[in-house]
Amino acid sequence: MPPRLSLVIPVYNGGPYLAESLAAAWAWLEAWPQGTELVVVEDGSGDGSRAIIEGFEAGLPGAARARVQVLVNDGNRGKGYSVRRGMLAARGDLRVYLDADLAFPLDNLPRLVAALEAGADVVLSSRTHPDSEYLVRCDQVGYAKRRHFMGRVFNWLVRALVVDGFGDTQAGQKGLTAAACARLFPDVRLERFAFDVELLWLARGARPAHRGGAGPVLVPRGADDRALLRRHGADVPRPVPRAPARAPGPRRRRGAGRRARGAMSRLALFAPCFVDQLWPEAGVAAVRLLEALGHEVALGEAACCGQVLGNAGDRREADRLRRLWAGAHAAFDEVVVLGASCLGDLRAGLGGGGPRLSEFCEWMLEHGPARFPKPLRERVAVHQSCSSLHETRTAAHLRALLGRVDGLEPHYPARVDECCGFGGSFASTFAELSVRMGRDKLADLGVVPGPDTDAGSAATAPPARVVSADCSCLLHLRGLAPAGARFVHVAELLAEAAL
Amino acid sequence: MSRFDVVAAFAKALKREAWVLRHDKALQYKREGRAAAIAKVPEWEALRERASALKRAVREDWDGALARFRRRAEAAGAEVHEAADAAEANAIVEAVLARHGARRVVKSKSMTTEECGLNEHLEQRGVTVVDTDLGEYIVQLLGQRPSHIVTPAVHLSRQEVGELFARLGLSAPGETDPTRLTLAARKALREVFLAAEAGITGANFLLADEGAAVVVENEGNSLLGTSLPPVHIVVAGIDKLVAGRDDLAVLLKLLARSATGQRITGYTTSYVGPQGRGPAERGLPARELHVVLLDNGRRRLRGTPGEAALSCIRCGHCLTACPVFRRVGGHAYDATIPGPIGEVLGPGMQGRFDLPKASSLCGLCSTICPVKIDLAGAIHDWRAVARDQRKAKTGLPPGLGLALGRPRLFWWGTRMLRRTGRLSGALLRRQPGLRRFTAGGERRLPEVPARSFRDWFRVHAREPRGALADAPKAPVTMTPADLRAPSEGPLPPATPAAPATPAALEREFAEALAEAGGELRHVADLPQAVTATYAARALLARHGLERRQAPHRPQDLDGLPGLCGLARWRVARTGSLWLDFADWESRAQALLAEELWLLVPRAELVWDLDEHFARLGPLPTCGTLVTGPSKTADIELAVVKGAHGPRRLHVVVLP
Repeated sequence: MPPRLSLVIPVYNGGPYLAESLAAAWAWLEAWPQGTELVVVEDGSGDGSRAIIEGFEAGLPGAARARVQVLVNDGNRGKGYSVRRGMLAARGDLRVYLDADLAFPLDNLPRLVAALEAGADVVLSSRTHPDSEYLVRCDQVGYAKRRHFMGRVFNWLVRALVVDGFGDTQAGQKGLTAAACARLFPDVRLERFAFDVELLWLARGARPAHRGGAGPVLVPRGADDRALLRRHGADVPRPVPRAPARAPGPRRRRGAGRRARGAMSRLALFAPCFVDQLWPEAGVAAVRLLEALGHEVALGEAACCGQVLGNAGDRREADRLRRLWAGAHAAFDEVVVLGASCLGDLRAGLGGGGPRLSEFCEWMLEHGPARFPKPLRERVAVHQSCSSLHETRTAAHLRALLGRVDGLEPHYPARVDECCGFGGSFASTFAELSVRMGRDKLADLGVVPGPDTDAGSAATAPPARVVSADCSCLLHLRGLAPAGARFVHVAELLAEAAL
Repeated sequence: MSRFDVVAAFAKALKREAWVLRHDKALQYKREGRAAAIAKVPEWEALRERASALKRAVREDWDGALARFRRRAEAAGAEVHEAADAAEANAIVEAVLARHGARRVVKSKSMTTEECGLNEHLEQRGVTVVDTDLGEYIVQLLGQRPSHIVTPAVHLSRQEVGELFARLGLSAPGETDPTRLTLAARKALREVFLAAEAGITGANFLLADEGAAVVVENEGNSLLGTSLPPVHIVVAGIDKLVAGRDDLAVLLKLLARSATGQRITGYTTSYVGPQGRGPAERGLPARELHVVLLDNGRRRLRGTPGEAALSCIRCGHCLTACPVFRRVGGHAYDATIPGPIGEVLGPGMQGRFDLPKASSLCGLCSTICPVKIDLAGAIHDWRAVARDQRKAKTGLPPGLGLALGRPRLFWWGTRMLRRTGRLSGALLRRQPGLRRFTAGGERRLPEVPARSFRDWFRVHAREPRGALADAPKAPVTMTPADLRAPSEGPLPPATPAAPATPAALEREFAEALAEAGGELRHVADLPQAVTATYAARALLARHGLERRQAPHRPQDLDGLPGLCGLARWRVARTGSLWLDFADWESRAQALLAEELWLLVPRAELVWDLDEHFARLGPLPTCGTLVTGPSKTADIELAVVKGAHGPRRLHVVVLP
């Protein structure tokens, strides 16, 4: 017997909460009084979503597994393609598709289904419905407003150019009858963004046929979607539909990070602007280590902590950037910061409250392995940044961490707490001095011969690499070192020893 | 604002390759000596905390402390003057000198009079001022100003000093030995001392509760300069006020160790009122003591980032430690007080808003400051004030904050820049900040990777949860000891108690005295040529020894081979002897003979400065803790004994 209701979920890089979303959707379907079916379309995610889906399926009892279809696209084909594939593959009389992040809550579904049961062919959730409300964290109001505004502009264009009568064509939660699916979806050509508009445009074009006979009615028209939804929403006390609280991470489809919400500890990695742009290897290694340790990693939507501006005297801009940074990381429980100088500034500027801030080495010492599995047989010169020595005091953690790698021979320079001369804007304002300090540091690290190096003596061999927890110092030193010298962030070194 | 360009001055200073190497190495050597000294003081951190708190506390009722000081000092017979600025201070000094018709003045090291430009002021009015601290003397002869607040001539080599002295006929041509150069200066300065009509000193501390000015020094030039002439003028900033002797004990433990790595300096002298007023000074010629209390912008510092710098005790270690200072030297700052502390004082006191940028903000100064001034933090905050008041620029490209504040636009923009690599690279390299960064091709700009971290993250495949996740963990709780910066040394145990046994006290004294260059002797070692002060003769007589009465006129004392005097007691931990001069015929007796023999009864031995001050009743008119012979390290930091006073100090402990 075919199921009465199918839920279709397209998945692309579902991120840390996919498992949770699938479980929630399944639980909702299980509670539904009629026969149900779940269709999951995996759209070539690069983040292990497929494994999560397969894990979810494997976790179901045998009988239930028959009510789940997992469709895997060959590569990333786009949301439009996935929805079309899922809606056509579904077997239910009534078919609803919804975003995998459950941006529209499940408790909105009874109203959509009720509208379909009442004879509508197509039902869509709307964020412009008068009963609709946004549940948004207060620090995200600006974002939500901008987003909403952009949505309105798009909607205005849609209504002016394509199809009129809908307050919100883009909401990722729509319901169609099997007949409407069969009629409309084969003609949907758009495979990515705005396929919804095409769907509605097709529906509008087909309207006369739909109007007749058994009365398939394209629901929203004239008085738009409101009337029907209100009619059918009457028996459900809570307002319809609503967008959930958005964690301030970048949105799944556009941003680089993944939605962080739910009950588990939310962990973000902050790779400062210069790491993000100029030393990505450090961030990559850190992410791989954190993930290998079993943690979900997200990125907050902030480019910079503002330290560079504060150090140069631009207090107002620095404060503003720091506030933005705090807002972008407020939803996390812990933020691992890749570098002591940014961390020092954030700690000093933010005071208490907010997520727990840890320097990478601090975090690794606490959560990482007591010994790293692979030995690294080499001599590394260790540069302890001034911020880590005098501000965050995390140089101790760096030293301890290096001690957890077998075979590693850390070499500490004689002037162990001498500044390398970077110092942010100092490096360009006092360029000659900065260069001089950097050269002295390189000599002390053994990378280049110093003024005191006895050329004749067989001095200790230069270190294979220079390691530090701060890429700012490393960028400056690398710019001064001979071409062959190698510099690594400690995360890169540990990733080699671990993965 | 001045026309002076600190950026250009630093660049110029760096061109003297050999000089930079020598200067940097010399100061680094000083740092090492200091580290060894503080490692012997387990309670160092606690002392820093207390010092920081007590200096802050005194400012909470600054005017009250000032009034207390004035009352006590005036009651003891001193004249107290207040000067709002440098001009007023100079005028006060000028008037006092004029009242006595003094034309020949000796001055001991004082950064406050440097700040006022007192020398120039007096020279213009026909008064000859000679700086008697060896370093300042050299610098003055060269027409320069001190490059370091503790070692004023550290920027000069022994060759440069030798050339100068040869040119002036003080030493033979080609002489570069620090000892012989120092002794040449001593000879020249001795004549100046004997002819001086007034002595000017600074003060390291002003004790509000005691009305006392405290001066610390190694050479003895300050004590000599206040002992011979009839007028003593103290010029000190109001930031030198502290409550009383308990606070002084804390600060003295920090000052010398931090400044030079010594337990205490050679002479730590307190002055309360003019000579001749004390109960035990009948018969000594009456003198005058003037104290000029200088504001000159100090009160104005309150409520600014410079406020904490009012706690500064001028140990000069932030200069010594500063990686920038070590490479460019003090003169490159063109300021009375250079280095980190100068960068904090300069903007508020002299409008030098260009100074705070001359720092890499490494934070070493904050870590090592003995009174816990957050110098780097203050420099950081001054930069903001300077920019807000449009006195300095950030040096950053315009719109940087705007770009970084719109993350998605920033990421999109940088992605576009990557895609147009060749073009945007060429444009970016023209950006003035980045062009400066390369220092004319000395430093390469970083290669821009093909993909940013975020762009990788967006598409990366999640790392499988590996064996790493199940590996045993060992979270580490770092103790405060683990977190200490290298310059702080290991975290010491709790405050040590004084050694229980007299033998342990004796051992400590012997070690400290030897460190200071003094010698423990037996009474039988006392040569016949040594003369003795009155009280010392009485004590020697009890041991069956007789010595001639020591002269007390300065001209008779000059060149005397040896003099024997009586010390009240010893301080074990610093190796000091306490002289209150009560039974001396003159203070100059302690300085003018070639060798000084001090007798002290064995039982009279206390542990540390706290016990010393607790034991002390009302402060004498002048009392000094003598620690070792007169010495200096002003020529290439080489220690030379006999800078002005005795070349040797013998301590004879009598039963």
